[in-house]
Amino acid sequence: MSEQEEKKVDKEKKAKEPTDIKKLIVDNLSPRQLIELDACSRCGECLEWCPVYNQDEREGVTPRSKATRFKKILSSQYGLFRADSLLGKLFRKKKVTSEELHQFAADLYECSTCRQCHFVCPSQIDTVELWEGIRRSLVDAGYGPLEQQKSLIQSVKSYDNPWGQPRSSRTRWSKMAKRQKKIHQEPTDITKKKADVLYYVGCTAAYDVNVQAVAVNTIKILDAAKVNYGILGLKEKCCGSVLLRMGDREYERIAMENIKQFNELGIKTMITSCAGCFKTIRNDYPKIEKLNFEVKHTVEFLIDIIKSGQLKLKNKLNMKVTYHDPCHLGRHSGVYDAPRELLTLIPGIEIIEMDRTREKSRCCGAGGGLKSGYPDIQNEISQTRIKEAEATGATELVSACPFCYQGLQVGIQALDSKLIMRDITELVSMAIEDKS
Amino acid sequence: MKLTGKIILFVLGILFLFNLSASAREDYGAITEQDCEVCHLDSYYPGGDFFEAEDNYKWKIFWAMTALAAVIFLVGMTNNFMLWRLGKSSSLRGKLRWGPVLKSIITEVILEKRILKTSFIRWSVFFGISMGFIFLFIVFLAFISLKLSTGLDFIEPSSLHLTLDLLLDLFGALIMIGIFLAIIRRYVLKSAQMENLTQDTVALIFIFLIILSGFLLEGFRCATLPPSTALKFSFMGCIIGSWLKPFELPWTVYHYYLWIIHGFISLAFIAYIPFGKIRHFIACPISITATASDEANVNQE
Repeated sequence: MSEQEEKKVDKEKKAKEPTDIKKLIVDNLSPRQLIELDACSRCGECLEWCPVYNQDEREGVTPRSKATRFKKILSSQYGLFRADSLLGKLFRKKKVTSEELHQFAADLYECSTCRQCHFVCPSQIDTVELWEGIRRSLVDAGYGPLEQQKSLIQSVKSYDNPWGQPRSSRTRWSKMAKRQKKIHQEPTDITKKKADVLYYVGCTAAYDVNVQAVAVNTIKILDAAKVNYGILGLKEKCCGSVLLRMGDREYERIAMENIKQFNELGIKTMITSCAGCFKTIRNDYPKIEKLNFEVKHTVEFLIDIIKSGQLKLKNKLNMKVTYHDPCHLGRHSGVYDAPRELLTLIPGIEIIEMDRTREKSRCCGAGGGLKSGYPDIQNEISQTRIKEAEATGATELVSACPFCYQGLQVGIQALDSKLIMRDITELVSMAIEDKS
Repeated sequence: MKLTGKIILFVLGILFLFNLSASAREDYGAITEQDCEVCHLDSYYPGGDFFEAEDNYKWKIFWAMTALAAVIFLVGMTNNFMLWRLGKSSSLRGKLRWGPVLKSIITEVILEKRILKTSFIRWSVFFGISMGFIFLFIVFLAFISLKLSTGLDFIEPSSLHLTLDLLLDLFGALIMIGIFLAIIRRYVLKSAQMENLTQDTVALIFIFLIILSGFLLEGFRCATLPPSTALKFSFMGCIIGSWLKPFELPWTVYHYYLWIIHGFISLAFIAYIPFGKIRHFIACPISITATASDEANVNQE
């Protein structure tokens, strides 16, 4: 192609481009969230703490850049100074290009939604809620999610789990556990026999072979404490967290179906070992429909039954552990003390805190679609966290989320670390085990 | 002591020393109305007369500029409101909780505790500029509403005028300290987390010029008037006035023109608010207080 022809093609391309741009519909956001775009003074405090920026030092991934660019996109499409208005033309307001929108979407999804930026932001912008709302607008307009995240979303829609597994495999973990004599009997199906407590297993603990121990240990503990509980078994569906974090509107349908199912069970309490499911059901579901039961993370429930004497921790474990706060349990839900209290109740456990804990805890990088969208960055983030854990001199790294378990294992393997990754339920299970 | 603390002490010390030296040179006297008239009879004003220049030029220019600034400001804010109103979902989780909101106004909006925890120099920048501006604005509103409602005059020499002088200089100095530290942090120390966009520099230049021209106005006045206790209330102007006094120049005429320039910059700044970084002066308190209310509601749930 000659230079002239190339120029002509470029010119045509440029002339065509703005007409292809879809207007972002932002009615799912609130006026306050749109005001928050202006509340960012671009002070850069978020840069210091962002786990993603820590690995990928591009201005584009910073929360301040996301807020500034989204405001720019909105201003070019709406308002008195929009690009196609008289004032917009007078002040030469540029139309946002397709390339800019795609790059913005790619950067917006390069985030683990850990909420660290909210906790250090002087303007206290509710960043994660904002990103999730913007992601929804991008999905509606066809700019999100990322290609590599689509299979995860499609899997939730098709199989009710993000791991591409058939629905019929959801209870395989309990069957296997019974076969291997890890549990005496499979947990009761709560839809057949009513119970006070529903144990919501969650997709990761149900399907991931490496993390199934979380579900098995929880069952062992509940059985030992003679808790009147049941599980949904094959009727359990994904909580929809994946869709919510990535901006897919079908989250509402899934949430509504789940809420209806849960509310009809007549339970008093729902417990879950997954911080992501916990945050979604406890914090996000009530925005759609009221729940007629209490939602607790397993650690909170275990403290209750230990304190009431229902569960006795008899074995001394003699372990030096360090605790990793899952973002969705800590920063998103404010549960910092319960897991630490539970660890102190286990005989022989010595907790050594990492430099960054509680609201300053460093994310493992697995959440918000980052692990599926940017696995290399997640790997790096996880390695950084593992190094912090190693620096404490602890032998075990404990957390309270199967997703963090997965995410941190990536770092342990990459570093060939000697740290042993454990879910908190594993330690409790070891403490109650009948050695005879 | 940390570097930031030393810088602040140094700046305050310099101000104090200048003020001492300025007041030590001449004996105090009282400002009389005659002092004002003598200066204002200069013939360099437009129309050759101060009072004609005041009535026929200065205020007309001022009100025209004010009207233009108000229109630009309103257009900008209308545009912002149009964008903000695109959001249709609920802004608050539950009802507005006044207790936590008021607490957050004191601890986070005014005292900016969160910034203080992370960096003292950053806190000084934020506190100096934002609080300086908020207090200046409050003082201005208070005096204007007093004038309109009770007819009290704060321009003619009086205790009210002295109070105004003191407060304007005090909060102006607070802003200047904030700007000084912001410039050091942004352009000298070049903090790694800073990103300098045009709007950042524009905002700083605007604020710097407003305060500088304000202090120069005071300085021109102090350079002309005989030293008096009253002048000490304009402590920043007194320092500048002591530097200018040896030069026998028509300061009152300069004062006339600089006043118009000061007014122009201030009004341009107001017109610029909806379009640049300064928007966060309005948006930040909304975000902070809404978060406080939400957190209180979540904790109660």
